[in-house]
Amino acid sequence: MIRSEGLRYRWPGCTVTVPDLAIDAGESWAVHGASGAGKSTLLRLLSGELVGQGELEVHGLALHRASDAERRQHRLTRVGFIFQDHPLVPHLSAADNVQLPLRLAGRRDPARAAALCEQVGVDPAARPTALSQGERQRVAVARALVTRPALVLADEPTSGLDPERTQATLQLLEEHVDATLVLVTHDPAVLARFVRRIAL
Amino acid sequence: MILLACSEPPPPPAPERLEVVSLSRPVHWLVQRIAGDAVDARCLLPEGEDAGTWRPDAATIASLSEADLLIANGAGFEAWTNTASLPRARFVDTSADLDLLTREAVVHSHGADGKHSHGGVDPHTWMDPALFAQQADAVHAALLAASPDQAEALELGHGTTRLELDAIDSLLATSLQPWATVPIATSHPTYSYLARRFGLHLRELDLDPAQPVTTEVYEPWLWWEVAPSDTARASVEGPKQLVFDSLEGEGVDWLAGMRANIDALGEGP
Amino acid sequence: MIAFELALAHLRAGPVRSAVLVLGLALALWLPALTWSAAAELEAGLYERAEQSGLVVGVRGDELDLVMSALYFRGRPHDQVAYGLVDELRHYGAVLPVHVGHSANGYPVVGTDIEVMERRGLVLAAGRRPGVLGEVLAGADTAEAFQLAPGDTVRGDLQDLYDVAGAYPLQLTVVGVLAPSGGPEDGAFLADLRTAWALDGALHGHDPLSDDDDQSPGEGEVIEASAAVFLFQEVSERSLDSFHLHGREDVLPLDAVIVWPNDQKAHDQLLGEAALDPRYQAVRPVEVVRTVLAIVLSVRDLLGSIYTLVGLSTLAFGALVLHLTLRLRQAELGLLVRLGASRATVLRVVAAEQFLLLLGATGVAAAGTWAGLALLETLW
Repeated sequence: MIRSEGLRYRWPGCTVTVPDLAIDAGESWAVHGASGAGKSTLLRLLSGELVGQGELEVHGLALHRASDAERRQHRLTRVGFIFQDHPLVPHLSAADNVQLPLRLAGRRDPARAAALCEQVGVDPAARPTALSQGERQRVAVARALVTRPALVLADEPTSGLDPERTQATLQLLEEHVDATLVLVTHDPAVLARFVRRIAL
Repeated sequence: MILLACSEPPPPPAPERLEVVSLSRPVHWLVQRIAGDAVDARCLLPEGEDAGTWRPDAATIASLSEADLLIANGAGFEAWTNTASLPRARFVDTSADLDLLTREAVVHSHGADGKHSHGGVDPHTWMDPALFAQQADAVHAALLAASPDQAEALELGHGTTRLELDAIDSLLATSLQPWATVPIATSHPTYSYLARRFGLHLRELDLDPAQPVTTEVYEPWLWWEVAPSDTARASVEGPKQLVFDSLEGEGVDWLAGMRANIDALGEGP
Repeated sequence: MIAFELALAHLRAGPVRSAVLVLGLALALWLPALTWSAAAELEAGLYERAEQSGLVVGVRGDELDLVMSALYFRGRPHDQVAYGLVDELRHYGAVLPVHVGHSANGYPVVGTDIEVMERRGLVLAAGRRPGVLGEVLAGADTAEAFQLAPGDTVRGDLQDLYDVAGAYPLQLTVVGVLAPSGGPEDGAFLADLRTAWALDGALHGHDPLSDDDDQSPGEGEVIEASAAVFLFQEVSERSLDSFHLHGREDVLPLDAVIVWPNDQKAHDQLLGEAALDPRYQAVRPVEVVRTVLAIVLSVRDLLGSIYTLVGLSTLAFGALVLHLTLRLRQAELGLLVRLGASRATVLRVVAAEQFLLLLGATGVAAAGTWAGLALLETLW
């Protein structure tokens, strides 16, 4: 599902070098390393948001050769991204936030969005300003899953959560067996649950 | 409107006749005489009413604005027109250009109708055939202006009427000639124009033709403007009496009436 | 589509901000819209009336005064002409006398000929036409202002508060109400010329002038009328027949005579005659109106320049607000891009929001223009 060779990204000041990847579909991998090592960069390369040097193939798409439109489409429909800061659109309800990737792709499924909200334990009609940080994070998780993506990329999804919530979130992520999961974390407890790891 | 197919085209509508309303009887006779069937003529004054006392109510006057022409005798005969709201462009005062007489005011009553006074202008213009002829000209001019397509018929009517009026004028001149030297008392101030035209000497009284006469009549002759009752006639001692009709009663034909008056005058006093 | 949904959601989330933006834009749009519409309506109204009015004949002097009083019943020319002029002008075509010297309850009482109904295409909504002195028709707006119906009475206004001896505040009876015509008749009372002369006092009624009930003034008798003579202030069945004129109608005053010449020749003849006659002038209302309109339109254009400046400054502020808002929403819009939206989509979202604001502003401006025009109509 994910193959890379000589993948690296040059930031002004430093270069992130990624070890060659060979990830099969359905596998769950954790990425760990010192801060500033490039963990988020890797996720962004995998989602097609950034284009680096070297070869990178995700789910059949050669990202190093793909057009902007192809990469966007890839991001919109095949990837579910859980961002580190859990950004939500403040003037949309939780359910509408969850449905956003679908809407951007030209589809709609309000029922699924509402159901996902309830699955993660958040009121679908609530506004982001009325939610706690933890609840917002759960909405972000639901949003990443709404398009039934082939690849879920999660950047520190459990940071700031108590151990219970952390377990619940990981459980939720694991429930989606079909998707390939690449997760960035520096939490040893989380890391401990992953067998396959990438070190940066 | 549902148009049925296969029917003949409807006949063209008959040209609408002018609606001419005369406000008193003498001019109504003129309109009928001059226009005949060429116009739709009616007289506003109802049967049984006297032009001197009758006034139409405001609603009736308001509806007059729908007529095409309003013909008035003028000279104060239809006094109510002074305070009426009428379309001036369609209002014809047939006495407008006449040499009118003024007279003294005499307040009197005609029985139950209440008092009225004859101050100002004398309205009895039709009693002088020469003046009446001018009124006929005015009627003709107005009808012609309003209905030029009827010019021929109107010309004919007007010509005939003028001839008739002129004939009466000659006959009257002849008949009244011997009367010019005789003092005559009259039952009503009706004959001023006649007097001016033919040099008569009249004393105007105010006599009710239905009642016995109480005024002293010194003149050798008393002329009644309408036929007096037997009582009234009998109550007059001294003067000889004749009826010289004032030609303003209902259904009066001016021509026939004048001929009757001329007959009544006979050979002389 | 998604752009409009997101735009609408954002606008709804900040109702005050949205309202302020809409109202600000609306104001910039409303001012020129109202000015333009009002000027256009005024132009059309004035022109229409002037075009339907042939030639106006009146005393020599200010043409505008003459036209304004004869056609729009506003003000009076500095002097009047004699009624006899009407008969002189009759051979040129249809004529309509106009006397605008009086008012009742503040609305002009126009003394004219009953033919005005046909001439101006007026229709009765209730009641009947006037039949006798003292009866008037109420225009649609006049009737509504005082809730007048056939049978109601109004009293003529005192023209000069200090001339009590010269005042004839006759009681007028409304016998009919006109249907709205869109013209100046809506805001006036229409009466026969004689009623206007009665208000002047030229036509009046009083009890017989002596102690003796059987005496009326006759030929040669002159009875002195003292201030103790009671003039009838009401036209009733009893008093109507006593109304009379001292003298002839020919010399009674008129403010104007409107003439509709039979043909071009009559039109030119009348203008030619009037140019030479010292008693009166004949003017073409359309030309006079054009002069007035020229002033109105130049004011409109001046305002237009001012509004352009206002509009530009509004645009500048709008651009500033937009710029600041985008800065504020960088995170949100960035999210859309990160989720996979194209830059075009993001632009569409922003554009949709501006479009909705503009749409709202246009709607508010349109409603405001309509309301403003309605208000101006009641004032004018």
